[in-house]
Amino acid sequence: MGAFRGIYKYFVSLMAIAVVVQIGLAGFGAFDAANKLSDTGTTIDQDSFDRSFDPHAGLGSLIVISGLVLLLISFGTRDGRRMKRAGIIFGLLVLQLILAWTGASVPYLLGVLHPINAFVILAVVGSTAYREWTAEKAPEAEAAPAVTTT
Amino acid sequence: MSAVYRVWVSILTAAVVVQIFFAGYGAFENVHKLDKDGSTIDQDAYNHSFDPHIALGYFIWIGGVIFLLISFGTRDRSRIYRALGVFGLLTLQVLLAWIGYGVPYVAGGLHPINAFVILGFLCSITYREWKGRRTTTPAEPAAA
Repeated sequence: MGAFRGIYKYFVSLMAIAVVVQIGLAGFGAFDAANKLSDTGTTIDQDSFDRSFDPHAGLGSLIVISGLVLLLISFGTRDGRRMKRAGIIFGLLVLQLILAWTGASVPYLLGVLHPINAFVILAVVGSTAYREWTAEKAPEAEAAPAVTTT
Repeated sequence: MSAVYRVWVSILTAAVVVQIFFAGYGAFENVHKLDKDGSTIDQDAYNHSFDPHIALGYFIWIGGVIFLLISFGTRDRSRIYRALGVFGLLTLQVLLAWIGYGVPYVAGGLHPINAFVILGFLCSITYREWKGRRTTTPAEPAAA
């Protein structure tokens, strides 16, 4: 159970870093496509556009899979709060994937929600990682005065 | 002036959320344009999708300048520092957008990351301002 908590802590921290990189790759995709069009008269087709976003799409799929892995790890911790958080993260990641798939057909409704949901994901994953690292220190801090009083 | 500061930072925060909406719209609108087999887009068509994002981006930057001026009126050093921080991040964001086209793998990649830093920072200031208002309100009858 303790081992699973350690794995959970490191895994969610790696996921937080991956989400930041993923946001960077989205920017790379948009600016790379714009860069391809910088010469006057040039055009791009769907393949060329998609190639700029290939790293974003590739890492995105990996992050969704890792969300599922985090959920499985959370079961190993046998902690309801950790399982709930991992469940929320996985749900948000699945929603993000659906928004990416359907965003092109309704850009003004679903496409716009894709980056907003990214922010929510970063906030939840980041706060979970923060909580894991601070929770380790908190029991030590609480335990110390308790020992001195007895 | 503190009330103006509080309302203005709230409007700026809402504007940044809308701005992130527009970024998503721009990207997915271009995907939509390329959906049909064999279709292509040129620079004008590509930029046209990002026009609302670009326009609001400049408005937000001007909003950052106004925010800084409002902060001077509050005569509160911590508020001025925070407004300076917001203005600095917004200026960096405009610079990253300008040079992102030439260096997409560095500046282009940093543009959305900085956007999230801006949103996080503005959210924390807005939260602090509204929370601060609530904690000072009960003290007023005591002072009277």
